[in-house]
Amino acid sequence: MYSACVQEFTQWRDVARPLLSAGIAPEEMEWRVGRQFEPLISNGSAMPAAGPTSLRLSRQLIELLEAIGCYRHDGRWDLMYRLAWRTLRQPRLLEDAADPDVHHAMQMESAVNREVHKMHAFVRFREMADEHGEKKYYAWFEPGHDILRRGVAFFCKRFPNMEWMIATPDGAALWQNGELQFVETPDQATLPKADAHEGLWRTYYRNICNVSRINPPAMRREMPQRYWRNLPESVEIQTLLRDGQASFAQRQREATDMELAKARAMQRALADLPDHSGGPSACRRCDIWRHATQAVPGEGSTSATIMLVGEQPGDEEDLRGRPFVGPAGRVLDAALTTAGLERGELYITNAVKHFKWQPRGKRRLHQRPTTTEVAACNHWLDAEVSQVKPRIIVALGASALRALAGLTDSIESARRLQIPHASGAQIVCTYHPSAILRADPANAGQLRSRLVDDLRRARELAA
Amino acid sequence: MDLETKLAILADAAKYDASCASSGAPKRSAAPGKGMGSTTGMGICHSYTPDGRCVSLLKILLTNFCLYDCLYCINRRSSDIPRARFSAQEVVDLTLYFYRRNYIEGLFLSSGIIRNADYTMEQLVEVARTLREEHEFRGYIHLKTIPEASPELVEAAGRYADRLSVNIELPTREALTTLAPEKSDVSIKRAMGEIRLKLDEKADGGATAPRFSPAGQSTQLIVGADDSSDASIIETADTLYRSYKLRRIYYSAFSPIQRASARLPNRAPPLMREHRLYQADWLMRYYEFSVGELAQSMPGGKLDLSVDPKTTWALANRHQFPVDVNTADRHLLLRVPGLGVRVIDRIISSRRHRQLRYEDLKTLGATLKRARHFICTADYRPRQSDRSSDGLRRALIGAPEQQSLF
Repeated sequence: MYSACVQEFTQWRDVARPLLSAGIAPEEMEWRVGRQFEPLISNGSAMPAAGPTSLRLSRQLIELLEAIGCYRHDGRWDLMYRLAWRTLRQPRLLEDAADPDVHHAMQMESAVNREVHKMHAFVRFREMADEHGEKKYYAWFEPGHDILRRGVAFFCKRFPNMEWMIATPDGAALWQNGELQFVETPDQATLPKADAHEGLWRTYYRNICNVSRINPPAMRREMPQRYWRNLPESVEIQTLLRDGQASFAQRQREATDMELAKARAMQRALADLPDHSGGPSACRRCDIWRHATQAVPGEGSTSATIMLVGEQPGDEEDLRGRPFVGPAGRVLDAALTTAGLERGELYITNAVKHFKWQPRGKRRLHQRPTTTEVAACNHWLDAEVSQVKPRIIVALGASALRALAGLTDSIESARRLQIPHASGAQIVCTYHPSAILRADPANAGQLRSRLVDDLRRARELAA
Repeated sequence: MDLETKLAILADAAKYDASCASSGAPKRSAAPGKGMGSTTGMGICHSYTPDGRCVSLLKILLTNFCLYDCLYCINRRSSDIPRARFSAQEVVDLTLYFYRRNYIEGLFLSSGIIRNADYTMEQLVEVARTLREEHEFRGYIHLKTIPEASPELVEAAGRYADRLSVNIELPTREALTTLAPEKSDVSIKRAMGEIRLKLDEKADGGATAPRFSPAGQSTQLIVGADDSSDASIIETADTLYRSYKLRRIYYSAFSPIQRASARLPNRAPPLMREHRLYQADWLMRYYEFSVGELAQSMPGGKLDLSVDPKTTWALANRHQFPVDVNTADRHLLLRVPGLGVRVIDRIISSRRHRQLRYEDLKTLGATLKRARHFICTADYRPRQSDRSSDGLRRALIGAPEQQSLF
């Protein structure tokens, strides 16, 4: 066994070169984690000869390795060695982007290149005159990877006739008299705190933003929040978001149904609410909650292979807080027993978690949820599916089918289809038990036997 | 009026122009001892505003006074907004202040029409000339070209600028006549044609020909101010690309403006429509789709807002699918929803080394949510190929969108 501890690409190269020439396999070499360079040592085996080597590595591979060397991850040196070792034996390895090592390497390379690009974009200089009145420019930047050296060449070409420093938590680059040096990180207190023209820049930023198009997720995707504290313009963001909200409210009133669910997601982003705040009972993704007692979550075995999905809780479920415990639940229980299924071994839930109703005399009469409401509630259904990971999902009725597969087919035709769910599970579609309650007595028997047949089919598919 | 107030007015006046690119300029950098600035060929977005758009250039108008009364424009003569005018020197100063602090890639300067086309154009050219000649500025410059400006001025603009643009704004002549009575589609197209000819001259003349707008020309179409259909917009776009060799067309969802004419819609900007138009535009330019093919899968001339146009096309052409990713040629792979150009490059390179399986496509970065209905691999065929296109479309809409598009 061999081992070493390296901190940067050139050190890695010097350690790796003799090992590669000697044909030492990746499993024989341990790249230790540490903060200090430690040269190659061997544990029992002979040290590889240090002499000249005839290693030929392609330009493409070396560029890839240089990039990965900047990626902050303990496994980088090991992956680099493995890639080099394998490429020497399989020269066209890099063409195979589906190979796991190549895939990881490319992902790391693009993350590093992206970080370099963001450095070019987000470094902000502040001007400060020295004791002779000479203007100098200072920036404080916090990169996500070890890219200072890689990213700084750009600034040398762009600003050769200014004196500047880009300081990071891990060292600084200093450009003076046309020469670049790398120096220790200066005390942050010595860097300028403000700049005479930042006010103009903020004015520009505020006015170039079109608040009628407000879209904070797109902003955050390209300018993640971790950069904000070093960007002087970011102090304007909150005000612009508030202005945008007013304009957004207007837009929401005019949005089509299809856009509404997304619109709500946007609203949450604006309010900066955490996504899972308080579970379905605290959910305000649509307005049904206003008139319901409580959210009715699913129940049953979280390791179930079969999940049943109904439409929404009814009057009784709303009061009890449990699914399928009213009249329709009793029809379902009977059908399950006939089909040879144990309710306790299933997971049972609804597409919509709150009860939607309209008054009819003294009763609360079930009202069908709208597409928008079903879509808003999909969030919770998806969470349940990914927790339980069923193989078979039984869609009980049209609303469940719409929620699970986006289909609006009739149950009669949909129950003959093979429908995949986005999670990979298979959907079996059948009638909702309440359809049997509502059907006229002549048809009820037929519907009931179809429900049983479909449940039986689900049981067989899950077996 | 102080500089900051002018900046506020003239940035606000410029924000309806969607163009922001700083790409396409030749690689260059400042020489030791003189000047400042560089271009790498790639654009850089230096910041993002809460509208999700990037800030790459200092995008301002020289003035928002304007002789014209185009109804869709915030700066039209009859609009009662505050007016301001920069001096050429003020624009130069602002550009240098911002550039030196690494806020921007350069300048995008446009203007309302004052006095006449030539006078306005002269002012724009003077700013660019000062930056280039007096300050040795090597950053990016994009200049708006005023239709009917004299050829000498356009030539001078092309000498200093990296990109020129003339905005056509409305997709049809009828719309232009109604909403911008003082503009003429003929003079706009003529201006584009003139730039195209000078670009050709430069291309034929090689290194010895005088510099002319190395990043080419672009234009903008406003979407939703008039009732032009999507089909007529992409047809116009196709004509413009083919006729004037545009680098790109920007589609700008019409944003309601203050005290707008009653002839204009007072509703939220149609952002999804704008997004779908960009996708259709991309299909024409990078995915080998013809405008006819796209128009055919647009019933009533409208893009399907809930599904991207490539998927719409694929659903209307089910007989071409499933495509075998292990054998299909590039042209066919480009037609598969959920496969982008880069993923296709990886597929073609990787399949020389292995039989691609379904899991491999995930690794290569395909969007399987869409692609899985249209492909087969060594170990996979779509199960529901017998499902109707309509059902499939609805299933795809039901799946959550990858991006939040607003």
